[in-house]
Amino acid sequence: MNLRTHEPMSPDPYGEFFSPYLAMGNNPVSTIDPDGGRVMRSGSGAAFEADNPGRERKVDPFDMKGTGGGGTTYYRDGMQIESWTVPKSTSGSGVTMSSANIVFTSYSYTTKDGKVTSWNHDAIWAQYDKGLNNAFGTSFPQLGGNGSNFNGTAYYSGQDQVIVTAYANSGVGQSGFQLAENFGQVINTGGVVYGSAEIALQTISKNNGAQTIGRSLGFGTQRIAQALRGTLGIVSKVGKGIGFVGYGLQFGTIFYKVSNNISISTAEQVGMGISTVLVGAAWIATGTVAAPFVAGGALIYGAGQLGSYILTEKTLEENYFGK
Amino acid sequence: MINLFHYLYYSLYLVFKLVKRVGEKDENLASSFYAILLTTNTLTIVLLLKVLVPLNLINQYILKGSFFIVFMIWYLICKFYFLKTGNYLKLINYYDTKFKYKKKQLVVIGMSYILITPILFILIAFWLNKL
Repeated sequence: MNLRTHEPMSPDPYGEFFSPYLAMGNNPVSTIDPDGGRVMRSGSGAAFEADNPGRERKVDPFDMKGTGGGGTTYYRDGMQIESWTVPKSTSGSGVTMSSANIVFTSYSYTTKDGKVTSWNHDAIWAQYDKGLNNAFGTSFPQLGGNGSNFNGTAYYSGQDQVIVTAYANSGVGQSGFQLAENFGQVINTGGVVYGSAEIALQTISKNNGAQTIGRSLGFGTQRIAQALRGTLGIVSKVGKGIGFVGYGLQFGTIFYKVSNNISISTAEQVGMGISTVLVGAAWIATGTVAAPFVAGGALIYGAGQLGSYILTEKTLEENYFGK
Repeated sequence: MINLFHYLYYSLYLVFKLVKRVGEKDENLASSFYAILLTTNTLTIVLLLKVLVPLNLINQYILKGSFFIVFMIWYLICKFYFLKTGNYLKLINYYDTKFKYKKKQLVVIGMSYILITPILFILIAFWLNKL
């Protein structure tokens, strides 16, 4: 790029965009092109310097979407980040090494008993040389083949290579746990909504609260009583429904994790047990004198969980048992 | 098998009938709760099949949503079979006469079914996870 005329000095040697004279794909805000080769995403320089002294540049996997063929789901720190494709990888699901552009400098996976197995760059290339092209599907079956997920960090090295450090299985496991945590919050919210509405409903019915509220607001007592009871009844049902959905999702996550040999933590088991008891009790106690007690339990548990999650970013069970 | 299906529904109905409730019908609650328990039973059996069939070939979203898929199937079966067709009335009358003096035993069976179903799922999940 000629800085005075803002014109390209030479065509893009890699033909990354529809025109060879498009500098940084006409997007100088989010991309950089320091050496006239492939464009890189801006904002990754600090990480590159910190993590990779030398010529390797760290690229945020978020920014690697949209080039190449097929896609796969990537996770970082246990969070599903996005579907993206390693540049120049061959088409199809999963990352393959057949394009020879992708070099795995190191690779490790964690088995469910916590054992970490690693290969270095040479070992992986040795596998590649043997003709086991699909690094994930063939050489490392723990990753489950095409479409499998891994927790990885991508490094852009030089002009042609993408270097990936992958942590297999742990990504899936953590992601599953993350999902369970999120689902847990659904349960907690459901518990709080259900508990509050049910207790309010019972209290108002018992103490003739609707009449008092109606009189103080100047409305007809009958009308306010009906409206209040109706609304609280709906809120209570919705809360119970949300709790049930959360329970179902948690159940599904445990089912998924067991099916795929991903370890379930003690916290998850305990959480599942408590949720089961609450859902069962809420169902059986519907419309009975026991309903406010169950609702109180759901309210206390849900509020405790939400509070714990807000303050410590962990559930009560996680705080007690650890992940 | 159909007798067992009826029998467990009736046991659950008796459990729900133990307490007085307002605004909700025991047979409706028993029907929907039965669907939850049957879902858990079904998925526990499917999970046990994992020993023979590699379940990880199944799409992860199907697995995660499996509870709702199976629940909806059982919920509709229970709703139409017991409630919509009015079978619950015949069933309750029939079993009320048949087990007139054995209702306590049936309540115990219903309670045990409610407790054992989720416990069994959690224990089997835990066991398979340790394998």
